[in-house]
Amino acid sequence: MSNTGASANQALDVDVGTFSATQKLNGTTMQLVFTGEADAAALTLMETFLLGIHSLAQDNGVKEVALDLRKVSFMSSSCFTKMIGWVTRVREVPEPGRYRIRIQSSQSSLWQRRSLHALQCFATELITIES
Amino acid sequence: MTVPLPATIITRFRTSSAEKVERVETAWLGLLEGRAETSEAALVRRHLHTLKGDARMVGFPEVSLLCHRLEDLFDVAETRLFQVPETVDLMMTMGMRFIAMLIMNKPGAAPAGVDLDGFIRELDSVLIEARQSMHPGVDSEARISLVGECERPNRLNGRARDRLGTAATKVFLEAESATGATRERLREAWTALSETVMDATAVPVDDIVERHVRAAKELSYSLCKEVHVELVSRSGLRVTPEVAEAVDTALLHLVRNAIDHGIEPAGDRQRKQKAATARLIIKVSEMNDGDDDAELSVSDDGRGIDWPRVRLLAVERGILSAAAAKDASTAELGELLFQQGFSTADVVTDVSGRGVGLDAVKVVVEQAGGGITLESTPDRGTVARVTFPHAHSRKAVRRLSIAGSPLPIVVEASWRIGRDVAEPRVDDPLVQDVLDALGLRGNTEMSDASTILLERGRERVWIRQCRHVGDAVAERVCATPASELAEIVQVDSTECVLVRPEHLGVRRLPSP
Repeated sequence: MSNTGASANQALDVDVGTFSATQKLNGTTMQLVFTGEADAAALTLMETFLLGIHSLAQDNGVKEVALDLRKVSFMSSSCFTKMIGWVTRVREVPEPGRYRIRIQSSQSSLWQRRSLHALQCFATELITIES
Repeated sequence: MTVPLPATIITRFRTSSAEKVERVETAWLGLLEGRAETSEAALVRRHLHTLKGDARMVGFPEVSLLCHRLEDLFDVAETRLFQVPETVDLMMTMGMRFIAMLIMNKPGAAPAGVDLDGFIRELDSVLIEARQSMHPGVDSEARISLVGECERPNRLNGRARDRLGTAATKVFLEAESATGATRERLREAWTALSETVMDATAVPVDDIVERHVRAAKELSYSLCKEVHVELVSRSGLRVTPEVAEAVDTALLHLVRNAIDHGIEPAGDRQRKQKAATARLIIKVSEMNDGDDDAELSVSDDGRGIDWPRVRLLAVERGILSAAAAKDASTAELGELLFQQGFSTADVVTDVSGRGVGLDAVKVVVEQAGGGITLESTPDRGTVARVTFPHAHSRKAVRRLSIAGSPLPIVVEASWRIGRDVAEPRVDDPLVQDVLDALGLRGNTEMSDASTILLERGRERVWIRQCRHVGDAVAERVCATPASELAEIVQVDSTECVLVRPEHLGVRRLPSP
């Protein structure tokens, strides 16, 4: 399935005031940007967003998803669990349909340093961390 | 684990562990948000502890290790009344997810692309930070590494152990022929090698038991139960690493079950007019029946097994007819508790282990060459007995004095000193020169020594310039395989060479 167009993609975007998630598809690369505080208010929407992203990426033959977390000041463990769920789903996709995840993080954020490196341990061949 | 457990046990482990992971995650969130009862903390501890033991038993050591770290992290969180930095919350949550992923994998192997060591490192970093924030200046890192060392089994496969033992023996004998600084260096190398062999071949049972005594005290404290934990005897026994793991696993489950399920809460004990402080006795002893078995017993004075309930369940499940159940002895009913899945059922006993259950404990113990039984009296308590083979750390030997030998020589006592046999001439090729075979050079001739005959069954070996000077018991300090000519042993703390005469020139008598 080919790129379904900007309007269909934008329907996945999430904004709950304190937290937003956007995505942009560019050929075989997808750019995700998370901003704000991912707390309980963002939980369900984040799950829906990541499920949608996974489907969209597979439908469009995406090879890499770049996730920008630099503007995320807080992420609850429940929201983080959704990220782990996403990584687990990607792991389960057989090659060559599997895409890589490149996470852009903030070096100055302790929680990001610790948790993202730990997240990388779930799938070292899939995830790269940039800071 | 050399022999895989039955697939049904692995499946049950996965199912019960997945449930525990989910319960721990829910309880953890509730505790952090202040919604959960404090009893939920005990539930988390219990589940992590059970998961740790089950995982080790069924061959998921990486899950066991992770649980151990999460127990540490949980302790820190509890000490801080669950007011923890977000990194602690994240690592605890991720740790549980990591476990959920690992348990679905093949036992004993992390899935491809998974970096368990890296994850543990991150977890340790968070643990150190959390501890240091509570107790600045305390060397938390040292404590973590120590715990890690304790958890890591010291395993070498049999071939590697044999090779190492053989190499160490050669180094020892070489040192005997060397002089000066070379001799010193070789002796140092021998000491290092033989200690490694010893650690890898014969694990002290007392070390394992003492660890569980400490764990039992901690568990009873965390479950708010007043329990006097007693280690009755120090056995001095050693076991192979394989048996050590089985003993460790059995202890983990039996002790946990006794404290968690067997020993009643203080209120119940008071109502039954029992001593407020419960007793848990762990005993290790060598069995007296002359074989190589030892026994480990775990006794508690708790509520005991509800035998009527066991009878009822046995009938309900079609295992026994009503008549057979009525007539069954408690020993026979005790056997049922080791049947697959029986002990994990809703049996109100002190052995109603949660998770993989007593059947898996039995399999693990039997795989190690041991056995397990239960005795129980309602309201008086339960005794679980585990028999296991101990390492052949001692051997009866015959001491030989060989002319010019720089070292005492011994042979196993299965070799008898022959009598009334026509001796071959000293220069007969049948007469063996032990020192020559060992590569040791004799210095002097022994005037009263003559050729000695060693016999075992139909085997005959003549040893040159040798006499029998008595019998003794030797301690094995660096085992070598039976295919090797020599092994270094200790008799009265003195190093001796145990020679296996069958590898010298043996004359075999014809069958009658």
